[in-house]
Amino acid sequence: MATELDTLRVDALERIAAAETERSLEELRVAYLGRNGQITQRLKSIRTLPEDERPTAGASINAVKKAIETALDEQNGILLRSARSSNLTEEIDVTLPGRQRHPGGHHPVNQTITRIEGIFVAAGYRIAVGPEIEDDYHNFEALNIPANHPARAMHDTFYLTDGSLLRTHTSPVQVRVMQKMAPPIRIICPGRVYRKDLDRTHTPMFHQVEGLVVDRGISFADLKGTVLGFLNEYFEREVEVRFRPSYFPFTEPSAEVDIMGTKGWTEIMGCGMVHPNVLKGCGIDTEVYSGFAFGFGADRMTMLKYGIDDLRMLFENDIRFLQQLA
Amino acid sequence: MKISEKWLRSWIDPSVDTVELCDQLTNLGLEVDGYAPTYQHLSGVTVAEIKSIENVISADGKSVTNCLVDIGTEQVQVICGAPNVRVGMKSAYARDGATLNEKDRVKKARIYGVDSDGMLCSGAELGIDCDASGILDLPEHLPLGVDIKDALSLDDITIDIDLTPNRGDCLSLRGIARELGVVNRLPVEETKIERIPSRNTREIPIELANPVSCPRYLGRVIANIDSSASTPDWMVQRLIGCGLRPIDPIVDVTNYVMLELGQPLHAFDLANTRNGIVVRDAKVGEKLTLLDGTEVEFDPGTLLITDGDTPLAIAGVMGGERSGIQNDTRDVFLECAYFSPGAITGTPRLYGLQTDASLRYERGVDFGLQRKAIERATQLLCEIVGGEPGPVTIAESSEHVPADRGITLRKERLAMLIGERIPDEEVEDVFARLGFEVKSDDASWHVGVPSYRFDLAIEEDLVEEVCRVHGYNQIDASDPSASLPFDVELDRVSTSLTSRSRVAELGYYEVINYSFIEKDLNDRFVPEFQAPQVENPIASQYASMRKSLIPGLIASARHNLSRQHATVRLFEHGKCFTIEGGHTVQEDRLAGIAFGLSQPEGWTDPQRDIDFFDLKGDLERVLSLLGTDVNYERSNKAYLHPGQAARIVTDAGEVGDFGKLHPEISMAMELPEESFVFELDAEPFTQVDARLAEYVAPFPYVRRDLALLVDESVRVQDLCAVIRDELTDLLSELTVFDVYQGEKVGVNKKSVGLGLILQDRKTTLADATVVERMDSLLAKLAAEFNVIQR
Repeated sequence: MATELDTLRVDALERIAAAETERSLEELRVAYLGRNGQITQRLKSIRTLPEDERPTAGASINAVKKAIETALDEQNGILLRSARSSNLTEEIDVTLPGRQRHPGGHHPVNQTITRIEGIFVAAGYRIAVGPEIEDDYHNFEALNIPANHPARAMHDTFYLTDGSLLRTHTSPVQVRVMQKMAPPIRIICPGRVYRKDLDRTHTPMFHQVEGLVVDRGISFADLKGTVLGFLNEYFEREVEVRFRPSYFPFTEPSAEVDIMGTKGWTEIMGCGMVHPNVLKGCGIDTEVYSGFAFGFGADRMTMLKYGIDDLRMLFENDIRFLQQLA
Repeated sequence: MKISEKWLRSWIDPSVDTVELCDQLTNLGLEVDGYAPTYQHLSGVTVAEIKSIENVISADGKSVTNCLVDIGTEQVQVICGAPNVRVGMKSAYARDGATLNEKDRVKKARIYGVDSDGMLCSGAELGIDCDASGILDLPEHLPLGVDIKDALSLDDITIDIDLTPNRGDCLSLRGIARELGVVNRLPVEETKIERIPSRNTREIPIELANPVSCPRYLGRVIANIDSSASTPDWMVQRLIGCGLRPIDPIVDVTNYVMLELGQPLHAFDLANTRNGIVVRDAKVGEKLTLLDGTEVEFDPGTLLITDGDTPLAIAGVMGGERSGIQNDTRDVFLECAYFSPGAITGTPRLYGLQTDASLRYERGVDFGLQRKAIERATQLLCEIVGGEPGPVTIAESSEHVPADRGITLRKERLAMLIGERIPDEEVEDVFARLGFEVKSDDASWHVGVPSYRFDLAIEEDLVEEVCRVHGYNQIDASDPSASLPFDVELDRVSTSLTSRSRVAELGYYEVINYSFIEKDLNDRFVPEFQAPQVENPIASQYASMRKSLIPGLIASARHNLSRQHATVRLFEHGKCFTIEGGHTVQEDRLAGIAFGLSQPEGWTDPQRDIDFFDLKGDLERVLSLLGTDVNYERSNKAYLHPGQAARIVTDAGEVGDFGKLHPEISMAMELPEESFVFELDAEPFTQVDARLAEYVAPFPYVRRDLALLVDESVRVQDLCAVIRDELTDLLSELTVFDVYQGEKVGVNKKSVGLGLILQDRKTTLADATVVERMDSLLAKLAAEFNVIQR
């Protein structure tokens, strides 16, 4: 009996070691360890032995079973490894291009707006938006631009047939926020605005980002610090900046901000201390609070950042243009 | 406003060059747009002498002269038609290629059968005076061949200043000189203006019928002028230096005084004002033919200068043709008025008449200036055209003339608003330089504002004056220190960013289109609502506010297609506008268009065009951001192919539509037949993120595949809904892995292969449970859809 078992063991281990495929290995596993396998049969037949022989016989058979299992595992490992190793000699042309997916991306102006939002949000600002079809009150009156004010000539306004208008700037959002919320206020308002103008540097629709801070003790020096900080961060360098007096009906004092570029000073934004009439109109006590506001063109910022010199290119939506900055 | 640098320097001459002078102006808030030599376009014109002349009679009988001209280096032959040409005369010679102005270039020509090598020029032709009666008669001492600009010192520089609307006080040499005086700490040479004694007694009665709009009107008769006189060269040069064309001596004088002092004046032919002047509002139906020949019919409320009955001029804007100065005018009535800015604003726009006078009246005129200006104009007129001035008639409603203004500036307020304390002495020095009278106490300055600074009204205006003169760039920057509340009402990121980013990642480029489109196109895509219409569009194809983003996307796609992009995938996020129930609705939408290859061209996989389910796959990725169940219905959008059109619906309502473009549209728009579009309401993507995470159970999954034979009309979405409903506690995934129609399954039938992945989240799923649940599911499907399992 022992000899027969030995033979089976030797035979099994030989056959396992000789197996060349996973399939033949599986056949061997079934042949020995399957439901009707030789080892299984033998284990079942132990019951027919006299009681005192059973432990010894069981131990012997189990030892063989264990050996076969180990051999199967080992051989399986060898086969897998050799199968995988054989792939080592197969070579692909790694210089062939990869499988492509359609590329896509955000419009450069919207990328700019997203970046600008990020810069201001990091400084504690929130984002506010408003309607593009506005009424005269929010676009002009509330911003200290009454009917027939000469400053209206600065805005070539599109009117709608019902008497409303397309907002000429994002400043009405300031008014809407100040009417709704009490100071402290720190917001930026990005969005589309409309003016009746079309040439290399003007399109009838463009994008502005407006900023507003209202709190106790806000000063012109704070405005300067904010504008300088933002410009340095946006252009990722120390920008040479000059402030010069200007005029907006909704700020006093008002300033125009220029940055030094390769072709000299370039006008980049308007700003100023919020005019007391605007604050009062929104129910804010000018003896307690003061504020500053600034506004600039996101399209212009995009052009300066990426060296684009024709504004109209931004709205042609040519894929060859869009993909460069996506 | 354009100004002559030479003239400006006669008022104030700081020792700075033109560049720095312009910088000073810009830094004062008077932005210099640019500067250029006044005669930058005059070139190739030199001093020449006429050596001999020969009369030539042309074919039409006109007499011209063939001149031999010494131009310094050689002698040339020039044909000249001027009557004043004579031998030995020195004149201006323009050679072949010379330019006289922006447009005119001199060329060799053959005139009346004779070659003319260049031309001899009149002052008018050169644009240096208004004399067109003959060629320039230059002084004999001028050397031959010298450039005319050097010979006549035509070296002025014209500075173009872009004035902001508040600085009406700087629409004059006087105003700008005053500002330069402030910054350079120099006195300004004011022109001496004396009262001109009257030499006759003629007066014209003046009535101010609307004293609010016109509180002051000065008039003066100047009789017996010499209508043959011409404007002196020095005045012509200054006018040209300021960009004005000389016209005739009287108009030139009124323009000159306007440029000099900022006060518009107007001259009437006395014959038309004999009945007196009434300044009143227009009556309904009144008309006037203006100096420029156009006839206007007035709106009531327009302020007019009338002779009582008929209008003579639109106050502050333009005079009438009939009442203007004529060639034979002998007696002049000179007007110099103060109109309230509010009385004139709007009028120029209303009639499309922007004039130098209206610009000044709209922006404001020094209310203390009228007497000075009329005396100055009288003085100049008498010098140039002679005549006998009468007394100045002054009609005035003193209660309506603006009063001198005082403004108090609190020292604390100034320091707070600037952010630093400027020493009191410096502030007082600034006010002194500006010509303001100041009284100060411990806490405040009480500032008397001169009449020419009518733009200053409130404390903050003085803050700006101090900042401006002190220098904006001298103020140190600081960081605002503010409380930083967490405000939940406002956003921290653009609400559209997530959905836009998802679409971009799926391989679409974002575009930005104008919000206005052509009306017919607009209505074709969204016929069910009206669109807001632009009253004054930039062009007719931009007259209608878009109701859908798709027409714009189609235009962008076509632009790219025409530039040889056969595969186009674009999207846009933006507002659409409709009128619903009488109200304007403005809502954000997210839309896209795609056609061409389903994947970029490559060597790995076979190529095919994008189809409906490519688009739907993209949209499913976008809609997964909603975190809610999404269902699809047939869409009835007219711009979609009726057989490949879907509407997206959630529990909250319709989200949007997508599908293949209707062939009529794709043909009309010259797009490929297989063009796909989607348009979603962007608002659901901005909702609060209400998703909840589910418990991840550690128990094994069981997969069961079903091959269901159903009528082809049965929608897979409905099958899946029943499965989800029946197995709601077990189903963790449901995939459609096969849909088959064909002979094998019979006519009007289809086979749907579904993969169900099941898991009990509390225990290992028992085989018996699976069998039991699947049987019950199949029974249900059989009952509802007549399903047979294959």
